[in-house]
Amino acid sequence: MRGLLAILLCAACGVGPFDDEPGGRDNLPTRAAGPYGKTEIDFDTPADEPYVLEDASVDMRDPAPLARQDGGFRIWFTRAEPDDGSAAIWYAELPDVRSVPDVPPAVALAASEPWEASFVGEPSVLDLGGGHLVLYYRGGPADAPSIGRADSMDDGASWQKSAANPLLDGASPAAALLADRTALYFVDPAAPGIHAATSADGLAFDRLPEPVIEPRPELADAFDARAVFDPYALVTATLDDSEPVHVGLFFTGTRRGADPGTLLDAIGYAGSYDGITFTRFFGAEPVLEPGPPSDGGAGVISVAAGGVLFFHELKLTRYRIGAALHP
Amino acid sequence: MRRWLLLAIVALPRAAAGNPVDAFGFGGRAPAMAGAQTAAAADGSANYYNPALLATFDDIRVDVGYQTAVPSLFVNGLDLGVDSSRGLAVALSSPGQIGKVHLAVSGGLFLPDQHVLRARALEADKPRFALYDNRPQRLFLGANLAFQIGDRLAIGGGIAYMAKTVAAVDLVGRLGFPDPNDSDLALAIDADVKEIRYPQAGVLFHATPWLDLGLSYRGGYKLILENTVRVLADVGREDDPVVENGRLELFALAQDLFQPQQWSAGLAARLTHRLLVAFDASLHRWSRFENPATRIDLDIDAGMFNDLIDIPDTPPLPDPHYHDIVIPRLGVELRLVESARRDLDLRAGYSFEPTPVPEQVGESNFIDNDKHTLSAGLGLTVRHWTDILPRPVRLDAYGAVTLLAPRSHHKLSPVDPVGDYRSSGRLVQLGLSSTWHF
Repeated sequence: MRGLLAILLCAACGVGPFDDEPGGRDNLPTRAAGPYGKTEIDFDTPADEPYVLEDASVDMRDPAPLARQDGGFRIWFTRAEPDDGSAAIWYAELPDVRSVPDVPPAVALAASEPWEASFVGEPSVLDLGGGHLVLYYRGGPADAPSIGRADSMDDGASWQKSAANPLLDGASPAAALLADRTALYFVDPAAPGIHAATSADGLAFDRLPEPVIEPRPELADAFDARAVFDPYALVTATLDDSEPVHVGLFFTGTRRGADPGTLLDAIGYAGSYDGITFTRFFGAEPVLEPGPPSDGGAGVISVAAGGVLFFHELKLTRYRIGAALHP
Repeated sequence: MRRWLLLAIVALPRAAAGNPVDAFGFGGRAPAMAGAQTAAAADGSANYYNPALLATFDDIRVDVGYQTAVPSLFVNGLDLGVDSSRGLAVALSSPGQIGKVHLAVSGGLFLPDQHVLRARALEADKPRFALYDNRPQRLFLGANLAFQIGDRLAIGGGIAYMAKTVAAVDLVGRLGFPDPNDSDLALAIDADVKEIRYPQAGVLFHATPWLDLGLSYRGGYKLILENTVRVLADVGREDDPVVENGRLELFALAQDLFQPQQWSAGLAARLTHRLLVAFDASLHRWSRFENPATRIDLDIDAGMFNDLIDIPDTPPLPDPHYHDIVIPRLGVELRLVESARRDLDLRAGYSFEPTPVPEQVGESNFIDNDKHTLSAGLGLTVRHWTDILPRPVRLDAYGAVTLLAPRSHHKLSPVDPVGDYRSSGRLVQLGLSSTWHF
C-alpha cells in the first residue's frame, strides 16, 4: 500500500518511468503480394534454408500449400522421376519454414488412368471446408497435357478422381474460388500466356478466348519478357461487397539471362478483383528476388501481416522446394 | 562503407514530432472533463485551453503532474505496437496588478519522458495511425500573458514553441574508384534545431454570475525536416581521377508534423452551487494538411558521364485530402464534499472527434478513425494542510478511454501492396496532478 502511495505521489509530482522503444511498425497490413525474400541459412535450425523439401534423387516442384491450424503448412507437390519423366503428387507437412517435415512426404495421388499416362502432378488444392478438399492436377505428357480433378472428403487422407476427367486441355492448373464460380488458370502448350476458364460446378469449365496474362516482349528487361507459366491463385476476401474477393495471381516469367543463350525464370504477381482482368505488380520486377538460379512454381499462403511463398528451384540438377517470406 | 553511411543518414528516422496535449489534454482536471475547458479551466491548463482564464486567478499557482496514454491500435485485428505517450506536465501562473489592471503571466510545459522530439518521415505508402504516430511524441511549451478588462472580460495570449531540424552533411575530397577503400574524404556535419513559434489567444466573457463564455485560437504550423547531403569530390585514383570536381547533392524535405489551426468556443455553466457543466466545440483545420512523405531532389555533376545519368523527377505526392472537423466536448464537475478543510469533486466528460482522414483507397495509408472518449476523475482540495502550506492544495486524478470506431478501407487498385484493411483500437489515459496555491 505504501508502495502504491509512493508511486501515486511521485506521479502527482511529475515523476514517471523512462525509456521506451519507438513503435508503431508491428503487424502492418499487406496483401501478401511481396516482395519476398528467401529464408536465410541458419545453422541452428534443422532445415536447409531456403529449402524445405528436397531429395537428391528426384525432382520436387510445384508446391501447392494450405495453412495448418497450428501455423504450420500442408504442401502437395509434384515428385518426378528424372529418369523416365513419370510423376505423382506427394504430400508433406511442415511445422514452419525452418524445420524438417513433421509429416514426412508420402504419395497422395498417382497416375491410374490412361489419359494421365505416367504423369500426375502440378497440383492445386481448394479447401471447401468440412474436410472437403478439391485437387486439380495435370495428367499426361508435357506436349499433350490435360487437367483433372480429384475430391477428398476426409481432409486429404484419400482422393477420388472425377469421372468427368479430363476436364480440359492444359497444364499447371491454379484453382480459385471466386464469389459465384470457380476459376481455373492454366497454360496451354499451343498458346502462350496464362489462360483462364470458369465453371459454376467446378467440373464443366468454359475457357476464355484470350489469355489473362501474356509475356511482355516489349519490355526486354521485364522478368516475364519471353514467357509466362506456372500460375498460382491466392484468393482473399475484400471489405467491399461489390468486389467481394481479390485474386492475387503469382506466376513464373522467363527472360533472357545475363549469359548468352541462357534463360532465367522468376516469380511475379498480378492482381484482380474479378479474377479475369489482371494488373501486374512491381512493373518489370519479380516479387521474389531474381536469380540465378531460376525460381518458379510459386505457392503462397497469406499469414498474419505477411505471406509465405513456396517455390521450386533447380539446384545441382534437381528441383527442390524452398520458402520465402514477406515482409 | 561511406556510401552506406550516406544512405543511412538520409534514411534515418529524424528528430521531432507530435503534440500530446492536442491528443490527450493537459493537466489533471481538464482531461477528466473531456477537455471542455475553453471557459472552464481553473489551473495551469489554461495555458493550453484558453490563456484568458489565467487573468481570473487570484494567487500564484504551480501545477505539476504526470500523464500517460497507452494505445492499443489495431489493423485487421493485430496490434501495431504504437508508442504510448507519457510525461511531465507543469505550469506556473502568477497574477499581479499594474495600476488598475489585473493581469497574469504563466507558462505551461508538457515534457515527454521518452521522446522530447521525434520525427519519422515514412514512405508515402507505409501504413501508420496518422494522428498517433509522431503527434503524441513531442514537447509542448507555451508562455502567456492575460489581462482582466473590467469585471466581465478577460483576454490572454501568448506563444507556443516547437522545434524543427535542419541538417547538412558535407563530404569533400576524393572518392576512390574502382577501389572505394582508396577514398580520401573529409566529413562535416552541420545540424541545427531551430525554433518554431505559433500564437495562441483567448477571450473569456463572464456573461452572468453563473455563466462564462470563452473563445480560443491556436495557430497551426507545419514542422519541416530538411536534410542535405553534399559530396564534392574527385572520383578515381589520386594521380588519375576519372571525374574531377564531381558533385552530388541530395536534398530531402519532409513535413513530419502538422498541427491544425484550431478555434474553440465554450461555455461553463454553474447550474447549481455544486454542479458545473462545460461544453466546447472546436474547429480543427485539417484541410491544410499536406502529404508528409519525404520529397527528394538529387543533383549530380559527374563530368563526362553526365550524359549517361538520367535522374527522373520525383513524382508529386498525392493530396491526402484531409478535411476540417468540429469536435464537441462535454464535461461536468459535481462537488461531492464541501467543508472548511476539504472539497471533493467528481468529474466526467465525453467527446467525439470525427476523423479528418478520408477512406484510404489509393497509395497512401494514413489510418485514422472516429474517436469517442469517455472520461472521469476526482479532485481533492485540501486547505490549511500545514502551516507551511496554508493555501489550498488540490490533487487531481483522471482516467479516460478513447474508443476508435472500426473502419474499413477498400483499395481501388488490385495490385495495391497493402490491400484492404480494417482499423480499430482504444487508448487508455491516466493522469495525476497537483496544484499548489501560494
